[in-house]
Amino acid sequence: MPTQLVSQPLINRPNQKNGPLLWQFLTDEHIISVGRFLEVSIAFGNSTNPGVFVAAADGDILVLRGVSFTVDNSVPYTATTFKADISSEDTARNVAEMLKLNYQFKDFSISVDIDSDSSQWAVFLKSYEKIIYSDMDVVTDWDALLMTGGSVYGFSILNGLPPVLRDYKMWYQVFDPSGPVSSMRRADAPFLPNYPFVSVIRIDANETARGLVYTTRPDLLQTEPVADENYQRLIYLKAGNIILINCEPQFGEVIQTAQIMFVNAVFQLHETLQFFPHAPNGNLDIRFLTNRRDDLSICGNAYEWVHIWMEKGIWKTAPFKVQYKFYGTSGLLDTFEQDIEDDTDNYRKAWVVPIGTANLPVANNKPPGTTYYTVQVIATRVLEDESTLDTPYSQIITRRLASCNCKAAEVYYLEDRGSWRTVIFEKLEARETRQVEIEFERELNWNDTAGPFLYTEGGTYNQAQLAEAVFILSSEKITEYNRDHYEQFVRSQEMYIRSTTETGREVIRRILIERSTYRTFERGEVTRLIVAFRFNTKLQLQ
Amino acid sequence: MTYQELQAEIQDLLDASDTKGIIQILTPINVAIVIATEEIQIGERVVPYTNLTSLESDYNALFAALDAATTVNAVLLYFRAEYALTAQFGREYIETEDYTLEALTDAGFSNPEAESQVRTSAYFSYLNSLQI
Repeated sequence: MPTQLVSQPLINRPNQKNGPLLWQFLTDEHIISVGRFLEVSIAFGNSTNPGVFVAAADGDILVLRGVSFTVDNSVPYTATTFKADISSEDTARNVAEMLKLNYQFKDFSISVDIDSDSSQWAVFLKSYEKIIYSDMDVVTDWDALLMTGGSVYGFSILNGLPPVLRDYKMWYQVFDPSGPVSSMRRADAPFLPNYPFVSVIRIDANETARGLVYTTRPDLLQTEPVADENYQRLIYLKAGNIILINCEPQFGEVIQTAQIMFVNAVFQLHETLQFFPHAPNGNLDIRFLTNRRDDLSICGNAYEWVHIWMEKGIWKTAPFKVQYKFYGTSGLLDTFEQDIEDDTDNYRKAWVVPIGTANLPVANNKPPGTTYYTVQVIATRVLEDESTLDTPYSQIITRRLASCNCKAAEVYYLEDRGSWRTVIFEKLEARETRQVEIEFERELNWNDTAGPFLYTEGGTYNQAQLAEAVFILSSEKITEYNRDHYEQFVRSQEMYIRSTTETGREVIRRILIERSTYRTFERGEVTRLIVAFRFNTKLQLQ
Repeated sequence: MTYQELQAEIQDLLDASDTKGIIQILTPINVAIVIATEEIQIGERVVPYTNLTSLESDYNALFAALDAATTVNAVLLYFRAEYALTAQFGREYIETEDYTLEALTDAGFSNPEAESQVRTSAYFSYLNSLQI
């Protein structure tokens, strides 16, 4: 089965959404024979005295490919004549330059070298295409050359042959552990004439896989760390050869690849470490799935979540727990821990850790007098003597309590790396009702000469086809410190706003922002993000 | 990289006794260069793709063979399609083993090299257990 899987996505680390999700195969299954280029050599000289070419006389003829070339000893070469010098090297070079000038030989590479077989100077022609040349036979007036004392010591030709290809394709289908997640597709094996012995088939499953993963929407009532089962998906590929014989497919063996982990995270191209800091990596503290700063201020009643990749690594392994530490002005006030337990004990998935002041693990356990608190995931490590020790699994997140009197809206948006991040808008700048109007005409009541109905019935009517409430919000000042935060917000694919129902229950509502240009820096100005959003539900009309 | 550049690179790595470096350049594109240049047919599959434990065993055998090679031509014998995936697995294995060694050295283990090999192997067995 000459089709080999030669590369696949990473096995030991999750594969993110940006970039190709690539399986590569090498195959020569589509090639019956690779063909060859035409090669001609014309050696000049003689057997008794190599390097010496006995000059031919003016008017002697050399015919090649049906073209007659004439010996003219007055000039080295033209497009149809050459000087048959006593030096076989000079003669070979004259012939080569003559052939280069001639239009009939433009499809050949022409060179001069010593022929390895005859040890004579020779002209070599090689075709650029693998085709059979019917007009490259030895058709020469060699007798005339010989009669006048000139000599061509050797002539050889290996005619070109076209490659012979088979009607071949490769089928492939993407699977997850529960079954196929894509339809069966076919890929062609490209044939490159200058690279004929092997073809690379690249199968990119990114478009299929990215539709399988997403981040579960935030839960205001979350009481402990929970696994986000939608953030990641194990996928693999099944593929194989198809040879079409009279359009009937003949299937070869099935290639089943190893499963790879695909996750709902993207990285910008300048973030060259990609997922590496977010997965087990030795002694380094694993980064939460965000690029927000470790140490931030937070409002007194704000929700915040962060995802973290949990995996039983080599140095940091289960059991895992989240540790909250609350500090006041006098130091540590209290510590609160919650286990991270995977029922299947497999881990290898993202977990959502609630870290905001309004999230229940913090709200219910934060002692009075807290000025800041830290959140960290703790793992266990096995020492050389087999004893175990608690060890930091993650970086430490610090949140410092701040007064937020000017909070007009609290919005949660999906970050590049797949966590929910909170953005606070300070002011509601405006509120609008946007409508799409339709207008129509009805006939006037011309018979009402008294007038009451003439002015109320008929004429132009209009009505709203749809109406939406639009809110225009203004952010805090944008600086280099928080600019990336707002740039991620405006490109985020999904966002929710904190809201309450008429019975007072806290809920989140999905919102849409205008997809347009947002300025996050302006020289000499205080920059704020002014963003208009609307709900995903329209206003109901009468 | 041309075939000649690849040969020179391999010679440099042989001079430096850098077998891990050879694993790093045993990539699909370099394999394709060798196959096309030497007009070699693609060989038979030798690696079961889904079995990480088997891949690890094949990687260890490949590493030993490359470690024993003393000439460029002896190394080029392994620039074949059937070894490319093994080498890719090897690159992930080396990365894991390297950062484990660093962690164990920092932690003061008495024989961090041997321990990192044991733990890396155990880690890939764990990953293998998650395969179907």
